[in-house]
Parts: sequence; C-alpha cells; structure tokens
Amino acid sequence: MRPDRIMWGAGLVLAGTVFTGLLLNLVTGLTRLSWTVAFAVAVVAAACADQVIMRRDTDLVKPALVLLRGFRPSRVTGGFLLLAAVLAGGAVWLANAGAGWPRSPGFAQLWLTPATDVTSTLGVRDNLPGQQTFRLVLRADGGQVLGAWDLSLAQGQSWQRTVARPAGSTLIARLGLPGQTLTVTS
Amino acid sequence: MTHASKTAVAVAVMAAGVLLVSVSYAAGRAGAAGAGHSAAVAVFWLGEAVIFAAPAALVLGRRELADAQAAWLAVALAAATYLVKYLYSPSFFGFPDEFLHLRTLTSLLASHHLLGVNYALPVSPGYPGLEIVTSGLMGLTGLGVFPAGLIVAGLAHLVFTAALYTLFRLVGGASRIGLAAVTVYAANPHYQVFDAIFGYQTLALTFFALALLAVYQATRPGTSRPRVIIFWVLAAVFAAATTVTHHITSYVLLGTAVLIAAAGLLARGKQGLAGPACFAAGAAALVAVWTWRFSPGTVSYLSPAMSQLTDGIRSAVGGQAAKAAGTTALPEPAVDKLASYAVALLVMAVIPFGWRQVWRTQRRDTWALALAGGAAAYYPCVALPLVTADGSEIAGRLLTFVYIPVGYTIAVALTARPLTPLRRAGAAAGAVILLVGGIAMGWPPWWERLPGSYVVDGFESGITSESVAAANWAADALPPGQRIAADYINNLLFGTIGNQSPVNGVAVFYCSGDWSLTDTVLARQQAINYLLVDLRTSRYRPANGTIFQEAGACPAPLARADLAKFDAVPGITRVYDSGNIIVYRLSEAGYAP
Repeated sequence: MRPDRIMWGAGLVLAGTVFTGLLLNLVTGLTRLSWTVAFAVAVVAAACADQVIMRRDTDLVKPALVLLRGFRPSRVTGGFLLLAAVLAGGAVWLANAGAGWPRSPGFAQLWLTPATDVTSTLGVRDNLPGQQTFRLVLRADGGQVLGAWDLSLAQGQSWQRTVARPAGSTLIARLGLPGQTLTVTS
Repeated sequence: MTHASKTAVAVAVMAAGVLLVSVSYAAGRAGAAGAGHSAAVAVFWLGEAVIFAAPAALVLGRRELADAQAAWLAVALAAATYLVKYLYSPSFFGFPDEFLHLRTLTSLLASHHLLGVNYALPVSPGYPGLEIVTSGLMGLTGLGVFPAGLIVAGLAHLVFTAALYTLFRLVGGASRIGLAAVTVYAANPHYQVFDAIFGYQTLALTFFALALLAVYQATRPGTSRPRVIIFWVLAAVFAAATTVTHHITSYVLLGTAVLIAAAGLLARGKQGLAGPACFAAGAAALVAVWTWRFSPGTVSYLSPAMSQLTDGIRSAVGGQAAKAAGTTALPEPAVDKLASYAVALLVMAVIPFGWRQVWRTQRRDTWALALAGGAAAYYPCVALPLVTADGSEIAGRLLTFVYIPVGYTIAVALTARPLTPLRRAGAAAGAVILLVGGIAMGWPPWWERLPGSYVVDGFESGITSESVAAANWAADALPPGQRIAADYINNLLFGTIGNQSPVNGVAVFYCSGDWSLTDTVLARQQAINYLLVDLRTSRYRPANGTIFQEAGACPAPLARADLAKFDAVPGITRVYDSGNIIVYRLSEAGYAP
C-alpha cells in the first residue's frame, strides 16, 4: 500500500470514529455492542466503496508522493531494523522494570464518614509493604471505648465496618502503626 | 550502502538514543542523587542529542535525500519522541492534563453517553473526540484505559508528523526541506511530550494537519477536478473533526485558513482567494455551531486568559512590567535559562533569511507565502512572557502552532545556499541550540526532567501514590461533585480520579493560624463541603513557587500551625487521615448545604 494512503487512511479512521461516536450517542449510546456493530458496518461499507473506486476511477490514482523507487530493503537494512527494535525493546523493558521500584515507604488510610443520621462508616486500607498489624480504637468524645480491633492486613487490603454514632456525641478513631497514629472524627 | 540501509542505520541510532533516555529515567526512578543525578541528566541530554542527530545529519549531509528515506525518518522521529514520552510514565498516565481527560473518559464509559460532567475541566466533555476514539478502541478490543489511550495518542502523533512532513515536502518541493522542517518542528518545546500526551490537543493536531494538507491538495494548480472534489471533502471532514476535538486547535485552523486566503490573494489574485476563503467560512460556521450548541462553556473557560492577556498588553503599552508568577520558586538552572534565550534569539535571527529566500523563489506560491507570513507570529510569542504573568505558559502553548511556519521558514533558509563545511558546522550548532532550548522551555519542567523524585505540587513529580489513594477513596466514599478546597495537585486528583468539584481561589484558608469570620463567610459563599490538608506543603518548597492554582496566594512552605488549626474549629470533622493527607468535612458546621 502507498505510504501516503496509510496516512490518509489512519486519519480517516480516527475522524470516522469520532463521527460514529457522535452518531451512536444519539442512537444507542457508546456501548461495546454498538461499537462492534458500527465497526462491522464500516468494514462492509469500506469494502464496497473500494470495489466501486477500483472499477470506476483507476485513472485518478496518481503516483505516491513518497516514491519507493530505489528504496529496496536488503539484509543489511533488515539487520539494522532488527537492532533498532532490540534497542527500543530494551528501553521499554528498562522503563517497565524501573516503574515498579518503590517511590514511597508506604502509608495506611483511615476514614470515618457519616453513613446515615445515626451511623458512620469506619475503614482502614493498608498500603505498606508486606503484612501489617494495626490497632484500631474507636471512642466517644468522653473517652469511652466503643470498639477496638487488631487488624492484620496485607498491602492493598481494606477493612470497613458500619458503627453506631450516639446522638450528640462525636466519634474519634485512632489507628496505631509503627511510629505514627492516624486520627479521624465524626 | 542503499538509501534503505542508510535509513535503517539512522533508525537504529535513534533507538540507541531512546535507550539512553530510558537509562537516565531508570536512574531517576532509582533515586540517583548528587553526582549520580547529574550524570543521569547528562545521559538524558546525550540520548536526546542522539535521537535528533540522525535526521539532522541526513539534512546537513552532502548527498541528496531520497523521498522515501526522508519520509520514513520523519515517521521514525515521531516514533522515537513518542517513546521518550511513554518511557517517562510507562505504567499509567503521569501528566496532570492526562488525568483531566481520564475523568471525561471515565464518565463516558460509565454513562455510555457524551457531554457529561467534568468538575476539574468543565470544557472537556464539550470536545469529546479523543474520548470517543479511545472508548471505541476499548469497546472493540477489550483493552484497558491506559493501553488504549497510549495507542490513540501514539497513532495521532505519528499521523500528525507524517502529514506535516508531506505538507512541508510538497510546499518546499524537496525532501530535504521536508525533513529539515519536521526536525525543526520536533524541537519545539511541546512536541515531544505535551502534544503527545493523552490530551485533546494531541488528536486535534492530527486532524488540523490533515485538513491543511487536504486544502493544499485541493488548491494546488493543475489538480484534476475529481481530485479537487475529493480533497475538499477530506478538508471538510478533518475540519469538522478538529472542531469536535479541541477548541484552540479549531480556532487556529480557522486563522490559518484566513492567512492562506490572504496569501492566495497576494500571490495569485482572486483566483487564489476563493478556495481558502470558502474553507475559512465553513470552518468558522462549524466552530460557531459547535460552540453554541454543544460547548457554550468554552467562552467562559477561555475568557479569563484572554482578558489577562489584553490587560497585560494594555499595561505593557502603558509601560508597566508583568507581575512575577511565583516569588518563592526554586532557581532555574542557568543552562536552561541561557538555552531558552539562545533559541529565541537564533530563531528570530534566522527567520528573515527564510523570508528573503521565499520572496526570491516562491513569491507566487500561496502556501510558501502563508508559511513565511505565519512565522512572523514567533516575534509576539516571544514577547508574551514580558506582557503577562502567564505569558510563558501561553507562549509555550502557541509555539505548538507557530513552529509549523517557523519550521518551514528555517528549513528554507537552511537550504537556500549550498552547505559549505563552515555553514554545515554553523547549522549543526544551531540545531543543538534549537534542541536544548526547546527541551529547556518544554515539558516536563527542569525539576522533573527525570522521573522519580518528589516535588510538592510539582506537576508530574507532585503526584504520589498517597495522593492518588486519597482521590480513589473520595471516589468510593463521597458523593460525586462535593466542593473541595485543596492544594494544586490534590485539587487536580480529587477533581479527576475522585470525581469531586475542586474550588480555586480559597487558598486564604491555609494562610493563617486562626479560622476567622472571613474564612467562615468564604466557606459559605463558596459552599465548601470538604477541605484537604497535605502536610508536605509545610515541609517542602514548591519548585514553581506556588502551592495553589492561584500564584503567590500564601508564602511557601506553609506554616504547620496554619494547617493544624482545622482540628480545633467547632463543627469541622476530620474524616480521612493517611499521614500526610487529611480531609476535613465542613458540612456539619453549616458552612455548606
């Protein structure tokens, strides 16, 4: 295929997708099914259009802007292109390997948000490396302990519970972790 | 060695440059500091130089370039620079603007409909081209958001560069001019990263370049009538796609059409005016209808920047200097500053040589005249930072477009005379200045040129897993659209990942040790539901001098006592704590509905 046609074709696919999306938005919404049907219709329409153009207007086709005359790939060409692919692949591998290196020592999240008029949602999420044990204590503002939990969580694991909120009282939750205490109120 | 083999060697050299950049990024992520960091930065610059050396060497070489050789090298340059962008953040979106479009895409995927709500960038759903294409690719292939976004942005970057090369090649009449112009263009501050991110401008630029190319082909003397019709249809299709995808790009397309019409009148009389003028009228109608019907918020979105610009020009005319944006910014390295001045001086000095050459050899060519005329826009662009506080940012964004005529004009100047060894050496030195100056002025900024280090509110380097986790918590635990006050990065993440409504202009909450009546009144006026404190803003200086969206709101770093005061305010409850990030709820104190 002529290189300039690849460029025009890619551009038309991108633009055509935009217009198809606008149409689908009016008709069915942009769902996986609607995209699949639209894609099938587009493929059939493109094939039909290609047949018509090939039959009627072959004389309109002008030589490609990018002339491939004298641009014959050889084994040397292939070798250098393979080298380029290996170098680029190495760059991508290195970046992906490096992206996994830890940027922070990790952290834990503690939250206490009102759920209803008389309840709140108390939650913990562990983002520290490895398995961690946390001490979570829930008190009323007078100091009375309403609940206490020893939580053992792995990295990425969460714990959540609905707790009753006494009328006119403020809840205070404290999460103990090495060298730090997190506090929330509700 | 054949042309094909030479091209393959050049591509391998570019790939080696990409590998060097990747090594420097890996060192940055591994926490290289001091001399190690300096060495990694040096490797980064070496990698960039190697990438650009391949096309530059062929442009400045003695032998004529084959058409295919120049074309494939232009595409290879686009691929190499896109890899540089990808390598910076290979596991997920890492640039703030990408998160803004991720929000629009997430809303589209959830609702299956367009024109939804984006609290962080309200104008974005009104220009859904990028999100439509990405959601279509996801729907057809089952790919995730990040790989689909990467493919769409990457394809757009490649096609944009190919279209630019074709336009330069056709107008200049030589593959050397085409490749030289593309190489100069690729050295513009935003080509490598900002114009290749998952952002609406990335895709719109592709449509913009293809629309221009179609207009060129349609107005080219000697084109057969059926081909003229085909190319006018293509021009209309791509102009419409540009309009649906990005506001500023569609306005620039309209302006470019007007410029081409004017150049056509000058070069060929009324015959050269008709086509481009009709296209300009059509583009104007498309922009007007789309803005009026689907994106009326664009006017209010762009008007603050426009009024700031006009105020700045008025002040400059009156003899007043622009206010500095951030007074506590970290000092910019002298090399970066020097390089950005040098590139401006170099471009301003070379453009007149290009004008002279165009006037001597192409004064009857509409497009050459238009490109040469468009290059004049570089001069006011360079002056913008002197006129308005946000001038550097506005100028940087405009250079994406202004470098198109600048690239052509410099390429014409470069190829005006045979290259003697002395001229070749001078051109090579100029190429180095263009590249270094472009990167120095471009994205990411100098303090985060290598990924991996944390800089408070420092764009990419300010985004941490703790901030992202807090935003994810907000998305799960809070109703959408809660009005929240926060520093710049947390505002961005809560507005995008968190699907909350960030409020700007309330930095005063963080600037004193007491919660005053003024704060209460402001919280009620702005209906603030939640207030976020990031304790790191009291420990580190922000690189660009500002912690909040509004520049210079509070002295940085913030005082710890100013951040701790919220614990003692009656009715304000502390609903979230992750060590550095604390979220307070104001609703119970009656500050918000």
